[in-house]
Amino acid sequence: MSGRRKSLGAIFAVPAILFAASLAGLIAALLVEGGAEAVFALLAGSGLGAAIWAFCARG
Amino acid sequence: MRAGTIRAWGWVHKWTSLVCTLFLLMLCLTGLPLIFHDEIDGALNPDSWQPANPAGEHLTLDEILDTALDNRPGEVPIFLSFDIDRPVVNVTSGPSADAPGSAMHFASYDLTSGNLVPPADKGESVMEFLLQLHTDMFLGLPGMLFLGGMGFLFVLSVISGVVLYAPFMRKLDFGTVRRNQSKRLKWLDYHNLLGVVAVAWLLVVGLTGVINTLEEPIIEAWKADELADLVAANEGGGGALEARASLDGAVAEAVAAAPGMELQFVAFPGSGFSTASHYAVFLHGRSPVTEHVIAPVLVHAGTGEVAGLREMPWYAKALSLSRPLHFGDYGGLTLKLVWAVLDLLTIFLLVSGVYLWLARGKRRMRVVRDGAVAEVASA
Repeated sequence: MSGRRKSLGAIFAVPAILFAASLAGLIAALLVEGGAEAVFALLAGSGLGAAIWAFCARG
Repeated sequence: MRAGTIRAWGWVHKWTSLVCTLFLLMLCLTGLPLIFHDEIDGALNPDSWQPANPAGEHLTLDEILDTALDNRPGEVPIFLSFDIDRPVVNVTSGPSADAPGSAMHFASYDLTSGNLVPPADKGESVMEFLLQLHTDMFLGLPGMLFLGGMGFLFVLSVISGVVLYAPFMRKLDFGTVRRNQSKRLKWLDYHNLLGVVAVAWLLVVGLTGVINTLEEPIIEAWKADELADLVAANEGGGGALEARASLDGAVAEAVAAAPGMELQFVAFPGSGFSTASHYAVFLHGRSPVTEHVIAPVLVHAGTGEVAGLREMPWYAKALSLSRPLHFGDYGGLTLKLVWAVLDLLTIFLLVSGVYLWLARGKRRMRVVRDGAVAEVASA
């Protein structure tokens, strides 16, 4: 807990990055075939990685 | 954000979520096995079938069609489609070209011999049940549109949840879970964290789900607006068919009329996707993006001449792209696994949302009860 009031930018910085990365992964996986598919699939699931990190680091 | 604004968004989040929760839970539970439809089919129906003449020449489509009709005397062809990874042609026939689905007969033929291919349909009835429940709850168009409404509420619920994330996180770092405080706060933090990391997926699956529920109106609009002139211009062309032009010739003409595209399926004269006197040859693109975009070419079934080609309008393309983006079956097993975990995460969001709503009620009751006890004690 930081204690100070955060700006909207600070609150949404990480969620916005995750939103952009996930969306890019979902669309790229549709446009690309082959080995890169798995990479884009993982990008689409980047939010899950962030949640796991939060559980481990912040829990 | 003002207190009144937060209350208004809170009201939107609470009611949009509560109204759609049960249906979303059903959609998540039925959607989970549907993600792995191909894998489940493959496991239940090991592909032991081999073509009779793997290295042999393929029969023509006309020969396959003749064989299929010999096997179904008195029936007419309705559709012809093709397996992607096997030399197999599927023929749908029926008592008339406009026969309802229940009266249609589906059979697969070995393109190298003309022999019937045994159906690989073990477990199919379960999958079809799940798909139907997921699509329209066995209620047809009204069921689809109702689920579309629930999907729309779900999208509103996600958007309002994002808006409410800000006031809840004013003093918290991203990812904070207050495990050492009340059980409700811990669940609230889990709900907020897992919700915000999945917003993109939730919105994509929710919005594409809503678009998918509009499938019937979209296809009808396409047929009425974009294909009507093509059909009208060709409807009377040639009148009754005295002799059927070569199907292979018609397909070849259609493919030549649409360079860069490949054959997907053929609708026969009189079927729902064609006119009374034309083969409608449906082609799709070859690239990952365009493979979901189809274009019909009408070929006169008497003369074999191309009557016209019409590309999909934007709203029909949106529908085509919505299907893979909703079911997550377009990017290999890794994407399917990601899809499945996010599906489970959505179930957690729904359940935790209901828990937070119920726990909030309990907290209010406790406050009222404690206040009443204090009043009695002080009297």
